[in-house]
Amino acid sequence: MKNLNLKSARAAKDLSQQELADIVGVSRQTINAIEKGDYNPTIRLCIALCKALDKTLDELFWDA
Amino acid sequence: MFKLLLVVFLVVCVIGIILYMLKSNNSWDEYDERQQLIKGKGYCYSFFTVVVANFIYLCYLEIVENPVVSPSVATLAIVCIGIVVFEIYCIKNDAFWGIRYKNNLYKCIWIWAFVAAVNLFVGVINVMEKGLFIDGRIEFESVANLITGITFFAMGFAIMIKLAVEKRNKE
Repeated sequence: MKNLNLKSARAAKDLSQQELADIVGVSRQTINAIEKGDYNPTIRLCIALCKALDKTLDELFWDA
Repeated sequence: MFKLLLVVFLVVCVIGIILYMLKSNNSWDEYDERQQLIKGKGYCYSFFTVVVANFIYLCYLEIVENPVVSPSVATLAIVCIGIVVFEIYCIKNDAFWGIRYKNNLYKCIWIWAFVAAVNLFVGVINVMEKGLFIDGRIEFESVANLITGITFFAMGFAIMIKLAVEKRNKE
């Protein structure tokens, strides 16, 4: 399932996938896979993404 | 005697390189969690490919009285098939290049292209001079370079396709 919250949070910060990947220390393809719903990140990566985008885990990853 | 010493020297070199890479803190590249998972799956597929290929060759040796393919050629070919399976799986799933790949990308491509070209050239010369069959069998000395060159060419080709697809998707 696609993660649109992550994509919109990244867009709100005006970050490209590569830039966000560089911040959290993963490859661009991993960020792309997370946004497309092809990969479920570990909690460590989830927290790193939340810190990079100034969001909570619920805001980025909870599927209401 | 000289061949034995050469083999021992090569084995020692390979082991030394592996030990150095394991102990070295400066890794060639770094892989993120998703890539490590994919590489793990790639190793699995490659392992089972090698197992199945070895089993097929074993059956071939048992059934055929005068095998056309020598064991050394079969061993090399099977190892190369395993390597190709692993590499192409990783390339397809974006786990071949690590996080710092931009520093190494073109260096690697050029090295591979050079190794592939040299091996293919030497391989073709060997086949032209000695022929494909020696005493009715495909021997190691006639096709070793050809197999190695084809392996590197296959991997390089897969990378080229992947880079082209990525470039098109970016646009």
